[in-house]
Amino acid sequence: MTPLTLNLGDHALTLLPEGAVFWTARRTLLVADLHLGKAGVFRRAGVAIPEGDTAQSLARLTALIERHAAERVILLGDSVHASPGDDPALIASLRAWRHHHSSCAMTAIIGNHDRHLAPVAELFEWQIEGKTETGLSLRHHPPEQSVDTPWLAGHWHPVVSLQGGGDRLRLPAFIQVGIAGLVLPAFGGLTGGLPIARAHDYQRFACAGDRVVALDAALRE
Amino acid sequence: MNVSPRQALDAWFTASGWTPAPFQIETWQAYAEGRSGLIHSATGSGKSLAAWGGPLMAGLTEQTTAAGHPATGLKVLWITPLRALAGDTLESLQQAATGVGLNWRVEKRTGDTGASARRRQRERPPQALVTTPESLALLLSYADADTRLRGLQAVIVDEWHELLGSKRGVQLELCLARLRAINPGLRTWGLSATLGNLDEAMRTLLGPGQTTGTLIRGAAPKPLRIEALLPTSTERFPWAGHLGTHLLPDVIAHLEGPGSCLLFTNTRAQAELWFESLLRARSDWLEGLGLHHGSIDRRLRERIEDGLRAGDFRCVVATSSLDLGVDFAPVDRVVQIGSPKGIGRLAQRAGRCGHQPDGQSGVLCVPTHALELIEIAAARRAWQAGEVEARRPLRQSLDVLAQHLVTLAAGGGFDAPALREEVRQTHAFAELSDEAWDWTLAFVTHGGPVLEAYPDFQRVLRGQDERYRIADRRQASRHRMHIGTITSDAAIAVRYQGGGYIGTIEESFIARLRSGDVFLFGGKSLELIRVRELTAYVRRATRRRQAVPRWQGGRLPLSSALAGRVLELLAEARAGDFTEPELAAIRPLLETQASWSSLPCPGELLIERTQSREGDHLFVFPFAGRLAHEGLATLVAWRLGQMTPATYSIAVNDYGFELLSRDMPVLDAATLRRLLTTEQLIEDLFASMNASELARRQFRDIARVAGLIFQGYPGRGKSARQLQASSGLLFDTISRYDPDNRLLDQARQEVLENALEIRRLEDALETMTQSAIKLQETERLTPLAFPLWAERQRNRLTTQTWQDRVMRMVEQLERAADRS
Repeated sequence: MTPLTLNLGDHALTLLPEGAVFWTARRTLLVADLHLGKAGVFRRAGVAIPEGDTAQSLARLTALIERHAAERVILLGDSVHASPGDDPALIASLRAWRHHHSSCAMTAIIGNHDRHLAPVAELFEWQIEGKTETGLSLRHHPPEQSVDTPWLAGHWHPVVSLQGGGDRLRLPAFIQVGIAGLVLPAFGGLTGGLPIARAHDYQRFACAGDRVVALDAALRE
Repeated sequence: MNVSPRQALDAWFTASGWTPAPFQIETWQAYAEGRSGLIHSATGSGKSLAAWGGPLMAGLTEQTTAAGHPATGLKVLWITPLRALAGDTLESLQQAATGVGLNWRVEKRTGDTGASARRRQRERPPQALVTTPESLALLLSYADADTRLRGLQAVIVDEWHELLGSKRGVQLELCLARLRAINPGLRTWGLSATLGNLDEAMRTLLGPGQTTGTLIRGAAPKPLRIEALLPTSTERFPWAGHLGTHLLPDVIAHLEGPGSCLLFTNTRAQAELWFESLLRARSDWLEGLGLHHGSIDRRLRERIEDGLRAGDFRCVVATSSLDLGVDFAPVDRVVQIGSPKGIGRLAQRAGRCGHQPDGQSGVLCVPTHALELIEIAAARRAWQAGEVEARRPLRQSLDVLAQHLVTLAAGGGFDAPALREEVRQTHAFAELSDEAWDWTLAFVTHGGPVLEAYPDFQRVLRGQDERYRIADRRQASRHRMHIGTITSDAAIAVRYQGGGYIGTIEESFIARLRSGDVFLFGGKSLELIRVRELTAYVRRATRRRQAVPRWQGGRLPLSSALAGRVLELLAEARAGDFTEPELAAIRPLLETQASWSSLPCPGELLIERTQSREGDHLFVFPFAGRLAHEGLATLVAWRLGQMTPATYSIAVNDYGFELLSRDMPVLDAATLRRLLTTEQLIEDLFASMNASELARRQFRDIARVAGLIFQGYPGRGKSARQLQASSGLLFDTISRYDPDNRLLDQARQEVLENALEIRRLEDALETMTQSAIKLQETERLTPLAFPLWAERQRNRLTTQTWQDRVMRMVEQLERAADRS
């Protein structure tokens, strides 16, 4: 695996090809948009979608926690797709997973999908977006106006489309917005994506298999 | 007072100034004998009355028996493929009923029918109902469907050829099987335009169990004059893509005369361009010009249709949106822009034209590039020989079956073994295996075998009485909103900022535009302001157009009947026979082709190899249509790559394909044979193309039909958003966690059949195996190779640079041809 290191404000952040950020100085793993339990929401509405994604997303997260010996995990919003109260199986697997990582601190930013959280309230330290930790603002929605405080967010589910030689690829991507912001790709499997085109104040980093690739020429240094 | 039904019908015919045609009398008799069948006859020859006469007479007999009391309950269903057609049909059916003194009400029921009319129809059902396949399925999804449809005597399917070969046809087959199960004596009659496979069309409509169908051949088609607009000079190096507007002055001259004209184009983009060009050239015709295509707001389209009926227009530019259905008096002239691509299609369009002084109707074909002249001559030949394309009915579309099962579950519910046998009475599912049936049943009950462990999915439940019923009312009402098999790309509404609605446009087109970009739509130059929640807000642009939307479809391959005739004509030119005026017109092109390389002919496969600064070009001309060529090109490139690793670029058109590489191996006839073998065809095809990516795209339609895509209720956008997932995402999830899902197989099968025309591809390979290979090393691009080269440039470059580059190349080649 070939990660890539990025400086946001004074913080060195490692972009992992799995679509997560590792904040080495604080031994903290950050991911966004898990949308756990999404397949179940579809099934309850009568759309026949097989299960598997929730377990897979949690297993991928476990692998990252263990590989990087993370002491803390921060979920940047939309961790569950809909009211977990409707989905006993989801609550059970979340509990078991959380128990497995009981030594790890876990903070979850409340995103627009995170509602009616009572059944999972004790599993995470739920926190509204915009709080700052050692100078880094933790958000779900990227701010609409540019701000000076460095920030991390999700919500967009950014992907990039690459074309060449008659081939087309869609890859999850990190988007650096200006110099201060970073949008993480969606970590959940059943999440889709918003294609982000090249733009003057974006720097896009594609998660290409076992490496993270910087796509756009470096911004003003 | 003792008038027999037949006398009443004859009297009405006489009063209307008509005499029953022999085929009409034949149909009435067959109907009276309780038979079903298919009527094919020329447009305007009285097909409808042939089919309607039987039920009318049966109704009169019953009326006499009932001493004049009107019959209760629905007797006849009249299925039409287009709801736009329902109004006109209804009027003429009602007229005939009243005319013969039958006390029947004819009503219509389509997606446009309002709630109060629907309620009235429920309380007091009309004796005859005009409806679409979708609305029929919807009728079957209500609990009392069986009771309401009991007593039905006949179903008449108008324009059956339009439904055949599509999933709508499959849906109708299933509904017909249901109606026959409710009413064993039900008579089914289809009306069809000429097809290459009328027998199969009839068997499909009546179901394979029905062996006594009557095929009624009506009036012979009107004589048809197919002419080409012959340009005064033709290019030797034709290229498709400039849209033929260089012939605009000649077309305008043709329109100058008195009377009305329909100008048909093959694509909506072409329609937009021609409309704009005509308007710019003749602004004095402003009031008399109309534009009609499928993306334009329905009310605008209806205004154009009314105008056509009233004779208000000098010229209406239209796409296939006016091919059928819309009923209006014949126009004086029909113009076809570009190759007709198929004979049936050209005949249908030409049928819009009334008789001209010589007793023929005529169509003027305007070539958009020189080679299309051959296709026009080919269409004329084929038409004269009575050759028309076939439309093959679909089989085993499990997505449609799944939808049908939910429909019936929402209706009165069903008993599985009985329904399985009923479904097998259709042509589409005659060979449905027990496994496929069990899978589909499992899919609609618990989502398929894999989902059995997840009780949270409920759609159809099996009751204690073993009957399958819909899980709850919410599911039922959701399903009713999704009934149907017509799918299209996500549509974006186009509106003025003030709110005026212009039409819908495909999302993929809008996605490529930025705010401020100008595009041509609905005959107007529009500037995009912003896109918000499936609506593109625009304002009138002051600048000239930059982009023309490219809608999906419109890239119809040349039919194999036409392709065969093209090859035949080229062989004539090779033998020095330039009798056909179109061949004479492009004689310089054909002679350059013959002298630089060779003209193709049946029994010989022409392959050209050329070197340029770009690399080695290989041009192969199987004449199998663009879709089959796409598959062939990818296949050959992949097989070449197995011999020597290299990258190939590909271009295709209806005549052949091009492969280009920096390092192409030496190719002799024996090697070429190996590249074109039919062995391992399917395996190699799937290995060669990104077939799973194609299947992923194909899955969109299937997911929609099978009920995997949730579109939400109108006005409940927010809560529906939680349920949004693209079909691609569903495809990925299902492939990963439920790889045996049969809908995935179906997607792969549909890719082979629709996207690659696998049968044609196989036929083409078979033909090539038996042909002599004519391998020509050429010094430069030949007139046949050039359009392929231009096509490949188009895929690489932006429009403007592409056109410049092609023009430069044309000049060089013309100079070389002048020297030789």
